[in-house]
Amino acid sequence: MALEKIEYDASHCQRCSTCKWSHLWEVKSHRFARNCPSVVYGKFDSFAAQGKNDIATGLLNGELSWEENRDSLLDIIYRCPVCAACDTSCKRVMDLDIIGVLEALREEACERGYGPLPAHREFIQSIMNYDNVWKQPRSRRAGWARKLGIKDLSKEGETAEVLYYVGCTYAYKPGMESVPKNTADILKKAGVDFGILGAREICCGGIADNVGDKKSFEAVAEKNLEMFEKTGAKLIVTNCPGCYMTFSEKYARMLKKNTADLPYTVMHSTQYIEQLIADGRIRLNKPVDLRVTWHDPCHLGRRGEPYTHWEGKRVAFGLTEPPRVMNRGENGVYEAPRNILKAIPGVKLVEMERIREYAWCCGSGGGAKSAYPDFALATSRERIEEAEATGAGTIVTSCPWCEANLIDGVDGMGSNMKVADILELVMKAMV
Amino acid sequence: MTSQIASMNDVATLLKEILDEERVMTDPETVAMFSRDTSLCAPRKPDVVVRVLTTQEVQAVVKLANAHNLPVTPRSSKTGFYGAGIPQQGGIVIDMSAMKKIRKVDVRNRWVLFEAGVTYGELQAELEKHGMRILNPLLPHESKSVISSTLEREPKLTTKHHLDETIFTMEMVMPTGEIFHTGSMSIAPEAPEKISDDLPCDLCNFHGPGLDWFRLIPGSLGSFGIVTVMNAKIDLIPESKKTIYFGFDTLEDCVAPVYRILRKLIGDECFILNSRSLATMLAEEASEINRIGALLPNYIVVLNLTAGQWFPEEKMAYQMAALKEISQTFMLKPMETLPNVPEMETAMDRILYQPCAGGSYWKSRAKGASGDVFFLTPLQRAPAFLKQIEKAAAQNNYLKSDIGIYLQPKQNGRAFHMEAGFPYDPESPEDREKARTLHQSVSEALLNQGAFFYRLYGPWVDMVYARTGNLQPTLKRIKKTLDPKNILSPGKLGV
Amino acid sequence: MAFTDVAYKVLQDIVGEENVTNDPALCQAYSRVQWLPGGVMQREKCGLNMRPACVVMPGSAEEIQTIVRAANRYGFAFIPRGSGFTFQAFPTQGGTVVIDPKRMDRIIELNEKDMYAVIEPYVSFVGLQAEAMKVGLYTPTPLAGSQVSCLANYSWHGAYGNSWITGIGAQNLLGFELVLPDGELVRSGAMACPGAGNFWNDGPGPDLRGFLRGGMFGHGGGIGMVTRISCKLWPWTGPEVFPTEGNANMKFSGSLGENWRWFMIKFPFKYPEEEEQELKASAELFYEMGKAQIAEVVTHLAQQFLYTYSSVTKQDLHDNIKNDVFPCGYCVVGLHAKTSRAQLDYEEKVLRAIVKQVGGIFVDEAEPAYQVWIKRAANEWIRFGNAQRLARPSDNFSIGSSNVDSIDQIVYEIGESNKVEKQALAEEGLGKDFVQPLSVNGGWISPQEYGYWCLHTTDVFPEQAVEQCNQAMAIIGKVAQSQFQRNSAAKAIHLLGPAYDMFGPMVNNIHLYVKAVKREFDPNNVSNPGYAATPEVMPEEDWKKMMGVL
Repeated sequence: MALEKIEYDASHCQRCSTCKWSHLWEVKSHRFARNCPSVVYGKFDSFAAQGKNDIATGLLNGELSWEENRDSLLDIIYRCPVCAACDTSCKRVMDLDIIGVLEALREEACERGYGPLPAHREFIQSIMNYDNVWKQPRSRRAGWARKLGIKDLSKEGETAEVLYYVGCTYAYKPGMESVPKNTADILKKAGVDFGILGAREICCGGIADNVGDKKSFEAVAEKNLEMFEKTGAKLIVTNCPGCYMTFSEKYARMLKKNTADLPYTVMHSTQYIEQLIADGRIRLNKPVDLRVTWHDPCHLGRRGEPYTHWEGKRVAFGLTEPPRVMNRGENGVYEAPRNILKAIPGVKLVEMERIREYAWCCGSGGGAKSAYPDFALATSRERIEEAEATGAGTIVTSCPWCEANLIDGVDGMGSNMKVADILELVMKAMV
Repeated sequence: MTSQIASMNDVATLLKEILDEERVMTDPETVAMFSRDTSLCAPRKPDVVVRVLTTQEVQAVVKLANAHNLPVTPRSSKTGFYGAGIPQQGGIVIDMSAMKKIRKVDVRNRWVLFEAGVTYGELQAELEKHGMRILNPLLPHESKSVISSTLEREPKLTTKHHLDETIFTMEMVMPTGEIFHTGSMSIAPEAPEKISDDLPCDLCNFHGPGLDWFRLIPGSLGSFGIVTVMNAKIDLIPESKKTIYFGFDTLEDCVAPVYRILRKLIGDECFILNSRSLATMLAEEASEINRIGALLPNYIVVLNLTAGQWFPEEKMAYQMAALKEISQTFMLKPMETLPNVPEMETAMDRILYQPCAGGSYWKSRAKGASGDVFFLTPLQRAPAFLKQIEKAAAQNNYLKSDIGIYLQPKQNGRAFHMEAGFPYDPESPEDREKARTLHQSVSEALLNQGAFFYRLYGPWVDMVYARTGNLQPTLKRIKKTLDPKNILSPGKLGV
Repeated sequence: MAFTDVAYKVLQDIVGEENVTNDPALCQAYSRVQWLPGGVMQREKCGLNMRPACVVMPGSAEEIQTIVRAANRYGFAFIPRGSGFTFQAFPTQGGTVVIDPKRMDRIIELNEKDMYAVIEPYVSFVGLQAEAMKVGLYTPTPLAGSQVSCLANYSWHGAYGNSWITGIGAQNLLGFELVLPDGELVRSGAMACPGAGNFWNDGPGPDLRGFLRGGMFGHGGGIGMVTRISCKLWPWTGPEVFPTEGNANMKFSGSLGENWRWFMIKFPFKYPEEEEQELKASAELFYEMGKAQIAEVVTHLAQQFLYTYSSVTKQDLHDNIKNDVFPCGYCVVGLHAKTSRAQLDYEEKVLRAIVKQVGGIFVDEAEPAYQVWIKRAANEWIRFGNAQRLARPSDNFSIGSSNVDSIDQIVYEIGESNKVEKQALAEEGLGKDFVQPLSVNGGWISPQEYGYWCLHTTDVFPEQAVEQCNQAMAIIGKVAQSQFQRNSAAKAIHLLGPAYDMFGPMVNNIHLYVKAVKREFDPNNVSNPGYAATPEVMPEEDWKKMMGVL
């Protein structure tokens, strides 16, 4: 069972509460010192990583029972965006795989048939039935691209340097189609040789993995890998950090490879566009007079680090054999979007207090938005307040889930904060 | 439980079995002397006064008192100022003023171990031989016991935060008669003579055991235990010093510059006096006070800079440079003496480092006694409290010009001891009564405005504890656990 | 003691259903103290008795009073806690209710002029310090890490990176508000006096802080729950925002600007052969600096501190140990310009003269020790504390010995306790799997208040396994025995629970006084009965069993 993999990590938690706080050097105020939405909302320690470590240990040693404590356990396990803020904080002090514990709890819940939650099952069923999370017909997946003359790499004989992977939400969610359209526009103007998978693009499967349903995830992943191989795609560019993380980390883990050894390279659109700007392939000359703040999506930042595969064991003193390279948050994608914003004339970038590897999550990930909408909303409102504290008028991000949840957060708050995708600003600035 | 003793002669007889006869006193003169002090507290007679020489003697007296349910009031200074040593319910006064041993000076660890009767003058004379000095309050009476002063929390002239709480360890006699040692001295439960170089500790831990006695005992007016021996922090005698004076028209004018000076940790000693207070200290007789006072600014901030062995000129230089900057900011004129005051440097040396010895005690100099009102305040509230003091004085027809004002920063200016002195003639019943009424009136006005009376004597006990919710009841409960028969200083603090 | 459904309903009424739980899964997170082999063994021994019957989250002192009164009425024990890091925050017997103060996290007042703050129990050092730095002030930084509760740390025990000036936790506590074990509320200091503000302690009359806490450990939650404190803040002339560079683990603390200077000093002695000389030389440095009254941070780092503070990963740490990167202990000095830049120059000059006099050597910038400490950990020492990172070597650690006394005595104590550990290893194999190379070299020496007194710790690093924890406990026991045989003052400072019964008769029968206080204020023994002194004297057999002597 999944928990056995992380028994050491869960049982060696020192209960220091570092997981509940932002990077202690980076805390700039009492108001925005916390990092874990789960424990801020749920309050009891059980909702923090420390609590989940105790719960995992309790399940392993029989002090807790899946059967007897099921409802509470599921609530604790799933009322969490799995944003890894806890993991990043903890790793300053210890070498425990905290994200591993969170994921193993979900995986075992699914193994035993208790998870995922009904709201998650809907998504997964939708993927199985429709190849997307939104129960939308496959035929409409590339509706945004109609008449744009973009290559369809799923067709025999079509090739391109870049496979632009759109993702379910950008493809289907009303109002979000501007993002792939903008992306396509930018790539064209930059003279990039790119293509899409059109109606044959399927869900990355990340959501299934996020909630612990490994079987469903692997089934989808296999299909995608086959498609990538068929198209000969070497460079995949995507706007969705969830998909980015899935292709980069989750697929590598499934294949038991390092990210660097995957048959393809995946880049987030901000990384790619940053490069285009640096190479002079697009020019940003029109001023955009906005005071903005950047929200680091968790799956792009601390969860967006390349994966290093490890199989081994713990030996004396908790050392690992062979030595294990653990992600600690420092290699996420933080600079690319900032460099883009700095390159746009007129844009004034002001930073929130919790940014980069210690950014506050929007509250949407890990299935939290669908299963716990109040929790997701409260988390997003915390982020909006933090953005307001900077004096910025616009919070900019590059993630469909962050964007949607932040917009939901603004609504009903009486806030004037605008939420924008980064490419909107790029488009405004482009000649 | 009522006492079984038929008469106090029986008590005296029993005490003479413990102590030399001549140290058990019931004569009217002695009894009268110990029934009062220079405070406005009503005199109350003890039944017998015993002069002790050792902790064991204190222990024996307290045990006897417990056996016969007799109240005991400890006293270690020959002269009292606050009423703390006046017995409330008769009984035995234990006079420790003859316990004069200075047991050990630890220069390396900067402490001195000494007994209850040692005065500032005696201690300072001994410490000087070692190049050290005690941290003293402002011109203590020559008979003032250092332990008594420390336990009463008389504020010291030093502004250094780490030299405010100076108690390391204590030897005490508990209210039930056990000898008790606090802090690291507690590992030596036997007789104090065994606290010697053989003891495997340096008496440098003041915490515990069990409770933090170094905090619970001060301010308890002898009702939680009788301290007979203490080791306390001392400091090096500076190699050089320079005293700077700032003159101000009003107390309000002092506030911002003093905050700045203390925040920058300039100087080792600092205090604020009004002209009346300083003039009283400088005068040798009452007739000189007004004349000297007229030569002084209304308010004087005294700042004493010191330097030790390491590059003293440079230390002085950077402090003076910082002072110069502050002076420019606030348009102040720092002075190295007070103009027209003869021998100011000698006089200030005495004020800074010596007890008030020879001639009259400065507080009695004007009229014979002083009814002092004192409390703690943040400096920024001091001017408002001063207004209240002056208003209450005026309402009681007391001359504003006679009021002595003293402010003492504690711990780099976190808090200020603020003191208003109201000289009066103690020989005149009428004057004494007026002084008492004034004292009450000023105290009430200040309390109503939120002054923090941290040391409680006489009428302040009821006035303050009436306002502090469960504090006094809690103290009573603590007292009950330590002193179930209510032997030590009963009636003090209402506990 | 039992916790009944009736009592649970009462708690629900007091705080609201969403703020209380008796769900085992939710309570599981309050059931395990993991650091300290003692904590591990306690969990082994107590099992599910360590899981509270209920966790309740009050939002005010009034709610806490009501909870405590309910405890007395319905006969359940309660445990007050801050962030819950230390072992007294966990039950030892079934039916216990843990009071989690998360809803009480306000900084009520921050007074820049008079340098204090008023805070509730869930305010952490890190948040308080961030606010303080904005106005030119800062807090001590606990070695437990700045994520812990400031209030709990000051009420229990805290040692800090800048203790050279701030002293220990108890010395940073000003006024407080306390709910007594019978539910009565009492305030101390200026906080007790209407209109007086919150700026000071000391009375009125006797200082109730002397009752609130005692010795090094206070009452371990046995005298009720502190609901608010005012605490000292200290002048700060560094930047308003703590500067950093880089990401995550690779992060370096940036320069604190021109008002701070850091130095590392070593002596020409190698560990382990010349440890005694090195420690004595460090003592001389501290004494001289104390007399000169310079500096803001003065401390001696044990080798373990250097390795743990320098490592990015556990593997790093062990590799560094193998490569003997830090062959000895080091002293660290931080100078802080509070008066002026000229003050800094002066203090540096004095420091250099003193170091020369005592035979010290300034560590060169190029040396690994300097690179690690000054570039990475020095500023962290005053922003974060975080000796909790000492858990990194083996994912568990314990203080092996500690004492409070003069610098000389502390140096002596370290030497003696290290000898005991070495002997235990050589003769009985205790710690054979973990003692070297992580411990028995040097110690953390923390001179306090310009060297007027001092405290130290040495540490042991067993893994969590029962056998190693037993060995670690045996080592600690032997050190304690040695302290007892030498009549060291250490035996008087770590009194808690059954230690009172064990050591009390040797320490002026202190157990009788503390128990009398306990009986008076907690007649029903509801306030953390597992750790505070028991109300009645324990039979010898019972305390010996609890202390592991039997």
